[in-house]
Amino acid sequence: MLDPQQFDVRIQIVAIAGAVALMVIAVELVRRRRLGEVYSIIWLILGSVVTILALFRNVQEIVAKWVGVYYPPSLIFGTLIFLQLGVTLYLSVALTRLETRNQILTQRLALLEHHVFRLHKCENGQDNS
Amino acid sequence: MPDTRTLVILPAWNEAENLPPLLDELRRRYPQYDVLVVNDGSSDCTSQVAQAWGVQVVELPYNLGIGGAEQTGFMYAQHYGYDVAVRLDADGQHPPEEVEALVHALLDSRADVIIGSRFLEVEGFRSSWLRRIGIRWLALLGTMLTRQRITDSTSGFRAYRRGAFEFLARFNPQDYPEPESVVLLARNDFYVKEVPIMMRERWVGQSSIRGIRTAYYMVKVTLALLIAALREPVRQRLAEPDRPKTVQGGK
Repeated sequence: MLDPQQFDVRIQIVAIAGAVALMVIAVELVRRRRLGEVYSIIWLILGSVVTILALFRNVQEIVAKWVGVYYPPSLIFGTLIFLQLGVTLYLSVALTRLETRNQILTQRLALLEHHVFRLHKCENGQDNS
Repeated sequence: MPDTRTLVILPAWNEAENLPPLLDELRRRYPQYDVLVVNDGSSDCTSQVAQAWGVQVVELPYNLGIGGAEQTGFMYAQHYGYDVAVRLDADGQHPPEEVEALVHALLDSRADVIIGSRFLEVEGFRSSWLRRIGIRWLALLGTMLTRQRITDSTSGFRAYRRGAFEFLARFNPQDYPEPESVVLLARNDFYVKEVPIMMRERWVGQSSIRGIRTAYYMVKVTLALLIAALREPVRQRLAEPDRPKTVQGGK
């Protein structure tokens, strides 16, 4: 017969292992300059929260009761999803900023090329305006 | 030794009021140094003021922050082949008369970077006790991570040799450049030394770090420093033609 206790322990181990692996990968990526430090903090926080929740069953139960979740372990999934939404939102913000800056660069580049072109034509004796 | 070409880098964000006295003093004391103002997307007339004073200006298309602005200065110094780069705050906190002390300390020693420290001698700096504790903590952390004696890692008053600013032109940290770059430079085998200086009060405007936010700032910087210390050292150091070879032939 399936033993509920066994499943609880296993999901704990899986969750913790996953969270720790994620944190280790995040730190390593920052070390190799592939990931900006800002983003590593996000992943470290995410990993820590999941680890703490998975590790301490009583914390799970207290928070689950408080938030209104019936089955404590699904708090881990709920937390993960919620934090993921936060990450996605933050990425949208970062993306917006990049798009804005990209546009500025594009426009200034176009103007710069125009200036150079005009300068070039001036030098070659083809005066205009 | 041929004349060393020195560039004074002034990253500036809305410092139109603080620049004139600073540029005036720099011109009077050090007519032989070139000055570069990096306009970090200012909304005031910082750029026009600098141009009126006859110094070189680089206009950043938008605000990058201090890390990006000073890095632009390092890139400029590299491009135009300077031997020494001195970095000063544009708000007047870094007294121009001390620039000479920094440059001499750099050229007279084998150091790659000289930091003007407020804490090597007593009373170099007046500010809230909380800020002082924070600065001392970061210095302690810097000392532990770099194994060199650091007393003021948040001071932006620095002089760099060519190899050092060429390295920073590529790898300058962007989040908390002052303390992070100390760790980064030391971990990449640059020799960092300190020289005592006194700083002045900020003339006009507000410092970007205030009050209770100091504590929060300290936590973030500590984390950034720890991560910076973990970074993989860049394998080959950039070529430095001016550096004397060591007798033992190592490195």
